[in-house]
Amino acid sequence: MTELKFNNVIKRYGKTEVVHGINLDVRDKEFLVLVGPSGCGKSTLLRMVAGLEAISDGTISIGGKVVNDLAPKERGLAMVFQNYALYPHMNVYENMSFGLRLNKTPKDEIDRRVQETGQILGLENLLHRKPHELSGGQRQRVAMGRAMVRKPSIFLFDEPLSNLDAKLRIQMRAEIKLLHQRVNSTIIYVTHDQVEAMTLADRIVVLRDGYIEQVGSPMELFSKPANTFVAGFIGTPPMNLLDAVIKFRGDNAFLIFDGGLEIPVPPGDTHLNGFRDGQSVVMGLRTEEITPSDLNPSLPASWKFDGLVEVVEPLGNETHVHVNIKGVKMIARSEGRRSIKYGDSLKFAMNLNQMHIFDAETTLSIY
Amino acid sequence: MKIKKRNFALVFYFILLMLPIYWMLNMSLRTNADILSTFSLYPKEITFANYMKIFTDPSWYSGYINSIIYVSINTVISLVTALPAAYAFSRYRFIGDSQMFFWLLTNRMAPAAVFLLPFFQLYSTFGLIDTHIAVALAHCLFNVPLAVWILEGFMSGIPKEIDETAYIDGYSFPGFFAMVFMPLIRSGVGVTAFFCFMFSWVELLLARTLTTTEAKPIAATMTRTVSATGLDWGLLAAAGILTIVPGALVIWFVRNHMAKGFAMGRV
Repeated sequence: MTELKFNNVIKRYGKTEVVHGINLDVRDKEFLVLVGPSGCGKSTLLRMVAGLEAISDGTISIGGKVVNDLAPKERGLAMVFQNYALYPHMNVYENMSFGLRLNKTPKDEIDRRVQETGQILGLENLLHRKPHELSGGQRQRVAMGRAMVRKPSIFLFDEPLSNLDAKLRIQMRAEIKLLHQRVNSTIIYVTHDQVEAMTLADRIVVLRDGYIEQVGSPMELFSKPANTFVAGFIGTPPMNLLDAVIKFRGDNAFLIFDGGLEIPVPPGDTHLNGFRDGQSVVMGLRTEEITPSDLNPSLPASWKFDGLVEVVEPLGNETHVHVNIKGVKMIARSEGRRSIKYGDSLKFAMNLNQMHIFDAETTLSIY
Repeated sequence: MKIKKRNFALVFYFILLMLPIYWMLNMSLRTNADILSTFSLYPKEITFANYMKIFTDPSWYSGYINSIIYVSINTVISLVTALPAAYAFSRYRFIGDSQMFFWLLTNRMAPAAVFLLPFFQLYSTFGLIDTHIAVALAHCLFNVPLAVWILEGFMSGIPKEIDETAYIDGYSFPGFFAMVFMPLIRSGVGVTAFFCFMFSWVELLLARTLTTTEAKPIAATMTRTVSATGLDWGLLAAAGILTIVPGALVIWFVRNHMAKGFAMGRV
């Protein structure tokens, strides 16, 4: 039982509060990802769990036991750093067995665990190399191996893939996921990369400026962002977020944009709840929900609009099209094979069933 | 062997550099009469009498021993004080840290002579005059700041995560410092020791003033070669050559890390 509890955790540097009253439960064997832009407090939070930063207020408990005053080594966890932090003067074997030797694990047990972990991570032929003789990916594996041999109850990862090139990052991402399935430990993973968060996490915690913006499974965050920040942060390219004003016409509500574009809010049971006539809102629509209209012929005609193509970004499998619809600029998505050129006039269909509406003032989701 | 054109300048420069040292070696292997009578590029009759005198006469070789003793004490004290200080400067932020760090270096900006009088007065009061420790402590004034600066540079090159990993692995601070950190900065420690050694070894003013007989440094002993009958050229040259030897030995050990040391570890 190694659930981890943040109870109103606060971090202050002098008088500046950087983490504000975080409450969060991490479940046993969960893969939890803390994600947010730099300076949002995610690394600070992780370092407080590890015991490398003092907790200014509140408590962190591991398995029901408050660990605020425990030294890092007494908390039963292992940490993997962005720059690997391997001991340069020790070879791979010594690096991996280091923690075990310190707590006087018997020699043959150390050897067994190191060999076993080395095999899992494909390091068995590198055990006698020094860190400077290894590639970035191998070093990253050693850093993970060093954490694994100690069989900790909780793994902490602090941006472990940020120093790797794009290709290796994808490969290691898969290996970390595999590691979690194999060791079945609780993992807390910090990253600024929302793709890593989405692909790895059981649950994601989105942080900004020391506050939790939203906690949820990757799909929850993707399909039901709680506010404009989460909406814009999760997903590539980011969701289109467009300022508009609500206008009631009879039983229907419309979003009115600067320049005259009008988009109907799809009718539903509760579609007028929570709106005010004349309310300033932000409409959110993911790029994949805006397509050239012939790709989505089933959508009603009132959801189709003429647009002017301003920028075309072909990615091969798909093309991102920056389109101007009556002065409102947004990004649409098209299939990769279609040839769309700068300056084309084209009809675009919006799948408004997937529309999000946020209050402009509070930024919270209201639809 | 073909020597490239551009190398001529280097060879010429090298000869200019080595000439004084060669000349001293040349003189040290000749008798005074020989030195003064004829001009010769090399000793015609090699004699080791000058060296024998230094190695057999206690008033001569004790000068070397005294110098080595206080230089060693000084190097050890400087390192032992500078290591924790440099660690603090490289790892912690505290009020006035950068000012204090700079202030350390200002100690090196004053000429040694400024401190001569207060030191003499102070050491007389405590009865430390003519002891090895007196000279060693006096040289700390210049060596500790330098050592802190060099070591800080080397330590800052070691990522903080190494420290943190060691704590999570279960090391206590002293254990970490001795087992993980020291091996990582050992070249820095070597270079620092070299700089402390060098300064203390060549410093004459403080060393001579604070000692009389018991802890008299070799540089002071060398002034004895001037006498009413003239200068003992051969003996002086031999003593000079022997003074170079320890420095050259130490340089040999830290030769690969010297450049980084001159840049105060910040490369």
